[in-house]
Amino acid sequence: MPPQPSGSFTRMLPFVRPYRARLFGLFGLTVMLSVLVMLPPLVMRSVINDVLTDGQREKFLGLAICMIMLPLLSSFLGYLQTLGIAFVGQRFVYDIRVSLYKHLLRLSQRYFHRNSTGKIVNRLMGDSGTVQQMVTAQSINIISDLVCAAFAISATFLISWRLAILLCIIVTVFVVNYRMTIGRIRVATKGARTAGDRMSGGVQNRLIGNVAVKSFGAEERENLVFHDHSTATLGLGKQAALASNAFSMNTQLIQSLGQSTIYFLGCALVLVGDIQYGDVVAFSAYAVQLLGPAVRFSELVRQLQNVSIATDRLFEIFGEDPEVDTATDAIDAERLTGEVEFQNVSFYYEEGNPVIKEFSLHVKAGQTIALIGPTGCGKSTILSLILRFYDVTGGALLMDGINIRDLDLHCLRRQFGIVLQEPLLFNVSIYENIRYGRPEASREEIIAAATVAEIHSFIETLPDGYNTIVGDSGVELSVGQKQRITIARAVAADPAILIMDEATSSLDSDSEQAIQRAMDRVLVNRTCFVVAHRLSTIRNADQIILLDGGLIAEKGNHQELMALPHGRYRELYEKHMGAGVIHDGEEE
Amino acid sequence: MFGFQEHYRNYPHRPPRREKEERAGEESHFWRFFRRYVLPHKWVLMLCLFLISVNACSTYLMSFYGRLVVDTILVVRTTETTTESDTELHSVHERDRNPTELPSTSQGHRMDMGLSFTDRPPEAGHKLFVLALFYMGTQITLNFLARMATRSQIIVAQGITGNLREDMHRKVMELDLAYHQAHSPGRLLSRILSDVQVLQDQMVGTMTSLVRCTMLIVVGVTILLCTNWRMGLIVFGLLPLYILVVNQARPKIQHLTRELRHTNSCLWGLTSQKLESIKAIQAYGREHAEQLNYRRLISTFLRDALTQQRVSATMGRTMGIITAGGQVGTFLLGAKWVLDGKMTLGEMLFVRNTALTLFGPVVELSSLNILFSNLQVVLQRVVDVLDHPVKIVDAPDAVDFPIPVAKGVDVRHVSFAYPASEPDGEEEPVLRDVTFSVPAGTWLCVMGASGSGKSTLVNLLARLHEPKSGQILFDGVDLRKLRMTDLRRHIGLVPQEAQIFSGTVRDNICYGVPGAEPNEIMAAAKAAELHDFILTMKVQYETLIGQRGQSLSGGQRQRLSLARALITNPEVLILDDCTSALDANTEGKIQDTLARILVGKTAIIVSQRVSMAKRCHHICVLEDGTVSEFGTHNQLVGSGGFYARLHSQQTE
Ligand SMILES: Nc1ncnc2c1ncn2[C@@H]1O[C@H](COP(=O)(O)OP(=O)(O)OP(=O)(O)O)[C@@H](O)[C@H]1O
Ligand SMILES: Nc1ncnc2c1ncn2[C@@H]1O[C@H](COP(=O)(O)OP(=O)(O)OP(=O)(O)O)[C@@H](O)[C@H]1O
Ligand SMILES: [Mg+2]
Ligand SMILES: [Mg+2]
Repeated sequence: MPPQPSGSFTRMLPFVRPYRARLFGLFGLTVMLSVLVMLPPLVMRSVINDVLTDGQREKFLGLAICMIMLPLLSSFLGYLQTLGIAFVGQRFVYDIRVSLYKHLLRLSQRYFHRNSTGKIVNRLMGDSGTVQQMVTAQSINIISDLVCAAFAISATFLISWRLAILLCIIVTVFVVNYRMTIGRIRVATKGARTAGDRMSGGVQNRLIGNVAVKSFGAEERENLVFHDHSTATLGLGKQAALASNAFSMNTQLIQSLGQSTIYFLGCALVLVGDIQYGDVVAFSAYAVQLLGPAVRFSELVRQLQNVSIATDRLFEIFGEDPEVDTATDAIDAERLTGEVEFQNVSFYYEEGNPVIKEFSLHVKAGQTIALIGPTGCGKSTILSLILRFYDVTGGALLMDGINIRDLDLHCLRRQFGIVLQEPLLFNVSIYENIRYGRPEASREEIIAAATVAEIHSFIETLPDGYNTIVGDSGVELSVGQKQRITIARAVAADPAILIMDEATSSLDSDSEQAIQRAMDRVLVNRTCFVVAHRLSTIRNADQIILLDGGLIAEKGNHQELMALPHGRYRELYEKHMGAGVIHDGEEE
Repeated sequence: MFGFQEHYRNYPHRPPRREKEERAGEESHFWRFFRRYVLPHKWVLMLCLFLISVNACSTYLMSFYGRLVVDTILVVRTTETTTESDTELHSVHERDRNPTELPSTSQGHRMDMGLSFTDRPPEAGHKLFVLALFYMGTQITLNFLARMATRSQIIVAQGITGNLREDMHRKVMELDLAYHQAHSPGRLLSRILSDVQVLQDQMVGTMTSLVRCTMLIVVGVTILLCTNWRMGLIVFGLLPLYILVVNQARPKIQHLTRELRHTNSCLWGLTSQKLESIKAIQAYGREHAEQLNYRRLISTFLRDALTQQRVSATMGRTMGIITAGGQVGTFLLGAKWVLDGKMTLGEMLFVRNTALTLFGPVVELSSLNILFSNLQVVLQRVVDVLDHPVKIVDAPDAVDFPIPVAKGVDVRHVSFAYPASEPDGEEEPVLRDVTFSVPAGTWLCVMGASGSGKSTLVNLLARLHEPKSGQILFDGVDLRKLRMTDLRRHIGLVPQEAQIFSGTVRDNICYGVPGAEPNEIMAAAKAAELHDFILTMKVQYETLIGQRGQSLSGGQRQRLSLARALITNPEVLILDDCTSALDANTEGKIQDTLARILVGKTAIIVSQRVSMAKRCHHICVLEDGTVSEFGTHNQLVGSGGFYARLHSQQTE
């Protein structure tokens, strides 16, 4: 009875391979154990036959010692077996989880946009645990069962081939039962898993967005949604459980009826004079050896179903290839100068909906480039392209004259210090957070970076100073504080190219200006890309790019752009920075 | 015997466990759980337990019955046939021997002893045939009963899980912001899903096997004492040994289970947090370091799991030895008695079989004990959530939100501090004695340096936190006296960080008003300057946005969040710097629209921009948690404070 699509199990092989020596050892141990387990009845038989019935008292002592030694030996071997199974099983999941996590970290942004973290974590932590069952005690039992069954089958054919054929028929009934139910179980289990995914995704969503849930008083509604999801999951789970329950009950019925049938027919054969009564007894004993495992196997079926579904779900992730990856013959440069060239770059997230069109720009090393434009015009997208979160869909992006596709991905990203539009912090100390980009940075460098980001004095006021843990994604800090820490992180990384996507959007003008002054010093000999809506922050940029609808609308430095008579930059600047900003008439 | 080396567990991302290990009345929450979740299913459960008991006892019944058959029918026949031939006699001995040769499970099968089609006395053969039929009938009946029992067991387990999970969810939704900030989504998720799953998998199973084992033991011991009390006492004397072994191992296993479950939830927390920040990880090329973090935690898990399994294997081994000792002992002693003629072979075999059946449930019961204490650990974690006091609840005499707001919002001497990270640490006040009022129909702009407490103030106004002292009054009614659902329906809060749900654009906009009409949705989107963008997408309002709105630009997220608040048409609008990612043009347009649609409404707006402040009637500047400036634009521009400086910086 091969457990469903063997494909999912062959894919496991690479993970099993490192333990094959141990597994063979375990198999050996198991075979020994099953033989040991079959011995005591024999010993007992001779005690009854020889000692009790025939009165050979002199044999009693030897047999008694045998009887005491056998269980001791088998419980010791059993102990070894359990430990072995535990070790291999746990290590096996460990390996799977570690390599799955490694793989996940390599996957591209698009994958994470498509799949919720709740779902991924559920697979990483939940499904991999299920896979562990594959190498637990139950499955090792298969071995011992197979040994016993092989033993039993050959024995039955020796005793009476007619009964043996009957036995085979009964075994066939088992197989039919298995075949008929298994599809149903599999479908239901799979459905339950998918529903579970939806449920966990929903919960995750609500936990992340709990401020919104609360501020709209939507708790009750969310409870109802959860109720629906949970009921659906449970319903499908119930179907699966009931189906496998029916299966194992059927198996048991077949077993018990099969055994009695064998017994009856055996007796009939005795009456006909075909076989001896003792043969019937022995035959029944072996029938138990054969049918018992079949029942146990039915338990295994349920587990193996789960395992194979979990395996499928795991390998779905393994099957995802990172969209952006280091080429095989990638160039590994230590440090780039920071020269960037866009050659007719175009890009879309979804085909037919271009976000960047024919973008060309040459940035000399050390220049500061400001990207401005209405919201949603593709500023952050351009920065993602430089970081190679996505590959361009047209044109080429060169750094130091090398196409970034030909650069080692790590080497490329090592060049950057980034401040993303949303400040992403980790739940470790402030110090660790700032050091994240360059773990080898010294304490002085960290403090210097924090000073540049205008956050040092705040950190000093905290009771734990730099050792303050910031809470999950930094909840214990204000948004402006988070932004400043990410700025410090970028500065501490000592990058060739600094990328700041609305790095100071939540800051007051005081801090913003202070940071800017400090940045001027940091930016010496570094290329810098800034995205900002407050034009005061970008006035000194070497090139200002005004983007609109994925196209460069205007390009030049502040003076050049201001010189354009009806330029949009000039219009914007005058409207929002100059005296024109005071719209007295519009006041409420 | 069960000793093990403690190892280092305090890795990053694995804070020490917080839950109290020894609670007064550790037992009691089990019973509370039992009453709350298990008792409602008592009828199904009782049926299930009844069926299981019937099943359990039938084992003895069958073997006792089989014994009767052998003793009466076959013995009678033996005496008849003894004279006929020796072979017949031999076969009877063989028959008597049968039970020992087969595992205990098959004892019942022996009672028919075949031979129904014989040329022996007709009434015996007939009896045997009838008995055989009856036997098969019983097998079918038992199978049917067992089927019912397991079915109802599954159904009950599912019911319990469903209720528990929903209660957990409800509770987590109810818990205040402070709780959510202290517990990461990943870790809460592991409690709602993973821990409850463990309960489902094991709870009912444990209960039913508890009943089954107890039943088997009680009946078995009774039978044993009735048939042969000396043998019974020997078996009975072994029981304390089991208890001793289990009691030695249990605390260790329980301790390890606690650590394991904690590591498990930390792993959920770690992975979900890291995967959400995957951008930062990849941008700084820290994949290796993150793997290390993960590996450290999961190795902790591995080590604990292995130790736990080793301890339980040691326990299993010890119990295996005791069991084997007991079995061999009874057999040898019985054999000796038979040799000495104190006992018949049949009696000795029967006693031995009963004892053999008895050891099974005893061993099972002792491992149940361990399983049970593991369940308690999981239960504790679940109960920890369920028992967590909800600090922000409706007052018993809560009133409706006053519509329309006639007097306005008053903030009086409000102070606030976030709980210190260590239980006895000092709480640093974030707001100190903040007092101001916003007359109905006017707008207040809250300004101040980053970290001065603006968002905190806003959260207090929406009652997401509760002030440590002082009062917030809406139309003279204390915030704490307002019904919470009503309060939150009538104030529109746009948080500083836009929270986008995965779902369609439409779902996100009409989150506060589930049944909103399309034209209302579009009006809100237009007010937030989002409509034009939505129309550029292929399926427009039905476009799916991923988790956290990652397929939107920063400004689009903020506008979506704004539209969501505007559609509820709130009495009091609270905006927390929600246009920071917008370009000045769009921001200006939104301000114009707000000025148009919010005429006569009260608004409290946090902003860093003078252009916004100038549209507000009053401006309040927070500095280090206190109000340092308050007044109109014209008053403050001249005062030379924070606002004047800001004004000059932003307008030159
Ligand atoms: N992962 C994504 N999948 C699909 N579309 C996306 C994705 N990210 C962004 N977009 C779309 O691409 C366009 C440009 O987005 P981008 O984030 O680059 O804008 P932006 O200029 O940074 O705007 P803002 O100033 O609001 O941050 C937007 O219309 C946005 O909806
Ligand atoms: N959950 C929290 N636990 C502990 N301290 C917190 C928490 N949230 C905020 N704080 C602290 O309270 C102070 C005020 O934070 P708040 O978020 O109110 O500032 P803010 O004025 O909104 O700043 P920003 O303009 O940067 O958003 C900050 O020093 C911050 O570190
Ligand atoms: Mg952006
Ligand atoms: Mg804030």
